[in-house]
Amino acid sequence: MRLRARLALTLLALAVPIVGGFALYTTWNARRALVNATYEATVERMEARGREICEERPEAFVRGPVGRRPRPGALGPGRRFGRILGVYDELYTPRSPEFAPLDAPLRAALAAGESVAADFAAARVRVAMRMPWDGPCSVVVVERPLTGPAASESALGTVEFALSAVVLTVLAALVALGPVVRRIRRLEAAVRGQASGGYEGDVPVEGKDEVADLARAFNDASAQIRLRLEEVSARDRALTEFLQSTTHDVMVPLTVLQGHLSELRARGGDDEPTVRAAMEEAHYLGALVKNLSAAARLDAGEPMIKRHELDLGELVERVVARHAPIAKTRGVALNHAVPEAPVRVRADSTLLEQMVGNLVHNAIRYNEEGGHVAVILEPGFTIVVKDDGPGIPEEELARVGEREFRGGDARQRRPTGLGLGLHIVRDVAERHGYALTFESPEEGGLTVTIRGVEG
Amino acid sequence: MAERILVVEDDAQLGRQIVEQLERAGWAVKWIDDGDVAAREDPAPYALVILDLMLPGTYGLDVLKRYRKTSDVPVLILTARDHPADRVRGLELGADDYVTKPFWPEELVARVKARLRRPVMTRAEGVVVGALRVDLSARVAEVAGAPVELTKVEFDLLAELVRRPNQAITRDALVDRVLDPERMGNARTLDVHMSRLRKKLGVESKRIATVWGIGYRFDASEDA
Repeated sequence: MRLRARLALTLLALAVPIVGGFALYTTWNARRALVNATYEATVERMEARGREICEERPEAFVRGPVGRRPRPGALGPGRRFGRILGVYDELYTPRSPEFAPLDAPLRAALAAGESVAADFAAARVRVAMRMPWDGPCSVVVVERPLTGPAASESALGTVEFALSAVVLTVLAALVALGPVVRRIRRLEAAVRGQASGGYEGDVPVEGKDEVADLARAFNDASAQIRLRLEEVSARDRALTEFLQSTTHDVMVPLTVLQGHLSELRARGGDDEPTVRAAMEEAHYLGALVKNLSAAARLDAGEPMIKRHELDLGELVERVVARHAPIAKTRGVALNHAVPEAPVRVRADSTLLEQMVGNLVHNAIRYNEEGGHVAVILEPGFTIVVKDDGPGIPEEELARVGEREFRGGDARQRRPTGLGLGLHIVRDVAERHGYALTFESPEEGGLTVTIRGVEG
Repeated sequence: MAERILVVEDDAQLGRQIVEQLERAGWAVKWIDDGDVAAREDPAPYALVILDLMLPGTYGLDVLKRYRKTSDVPVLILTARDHPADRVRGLELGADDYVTKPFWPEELVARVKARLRRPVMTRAEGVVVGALRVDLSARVAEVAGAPVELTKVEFDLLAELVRRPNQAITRDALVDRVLDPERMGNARTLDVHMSRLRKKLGVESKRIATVWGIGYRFDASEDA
């Protein structure tokens, strides 16, 4: 819930019961005072003359000027004060037939031992009182209008007034909250800006209140984050540099090793399975190191990925040329077809070459002697790498490309390294926005299709 | 006389290997293992330069810059860095091609050959190879001097393959370019035309190779 809404609701929830309770209390208090005053005045007037008249000449008392024509010292209360409805004895027998029988609730209350009982209606109150004497005029009932704070309307008026005061207070609070909310919003915007800007710089600290404290706390936190980020990126840089130089240090001897192996084969070792196996392993090592380096760049994210214009036809030819020796060693026919016109894209050439290379390498590596691998580039563009090797079972196709994936009977067909290589394929395709599909056609083998947009 | 190749490579073992491989392939090779020395070398007498980017003393790209001031000699870059920046800068500075380490000797030799290869014939005009002669402008095909009677589709098919010798061309591409779209040509129709064409070419039919998963390729090598 927003701050303003919460404040308004809280204020209302607090104020409405308080105001209501206060109004009820005020009314109740006023009514009690009214009843007490009625009692005292009635007792006083009855003692003065009323009791005497009532007992001796009840007719006169009834017809008398009690309520109707008040005058100083009259028997009953004056009009302002109210009028006597009836006088009764201890057993609530009316003193005169003109008096109506005593109302049951009032009677019950007096019978219960109360000396005063009151029955409130909207605009008047009836008060039944037991006089401090016995006899035929010992119970008096007076009716008087409700005025002033004792009246129900007045109570309602009080509530209305108080409620409008509450509403005004709430409005005032909301208006007063405006600048605070605006500052919090500004702080929020500043914090978001800081977070998206890699926690560079501080958010502005305004004033000396809690919002300012909050801003300072954010600044302290982002200083901590900056520190950690710097540590991490320093470690990352060191690692990347280490990896780069290691890659270089590995690549040179690996090239020399490949040269030696090639020489061995040329000297007649072509029939020697050991030489062929060693060549495959050397090729695999090179691919592995390149994949690790590619994985490091992909993990480092966007700044490490460089896009520049390149011709996919050239790239496919380069990948095929790179794998032709190893395909020949394995006895796998590796062919490719590219369109006459260049197919230009903006991409990271190293990563793209690694992606296509991994697909071609896998297709060769898991094929059998006499197998085929074809790489086809079509304008538009589509790159298809297909083989007639063992393929991948339907249920595993969807999972190809997960880092840990190696396939069911991986040890025979798709041993070590497939996981990382295909993961890179998937990652590179994703980074470049290319669609990647793996299919096992009916005639067998695996067909991998990369679809992207030329230009 | 054999063409001369300049190899600029700081690693002793790798340098020696590259020299041997290139010499075995028939080129005359000069090897320099120091960047500063390489920078002073005049590239003019060489048909091609192989330049390793990771040279001590002088950064390989500086050597390339130096050479480009005076010469258009093809330069093939060797790099071990797995980052496109080197390649892009190399190509921007005028390198013609690059090979990344590790590479197989065959790959390097193939790249050098591709750079030094001279066009044997003008492809637009046709081809004369073995007993086969194809004249694209006159739309004539002869085997051992005898004209081969070809339908329009058959000749178009042959022409498409001959125009891009030694390159595999997909069935789809051939269907697109050769078959009449009005008559719903497909890959099967294409194969039928191809089998007739091969029959008519007789002894030279072997020049049209079926390429698994792709389509067909015209083999223009003399010894095929």
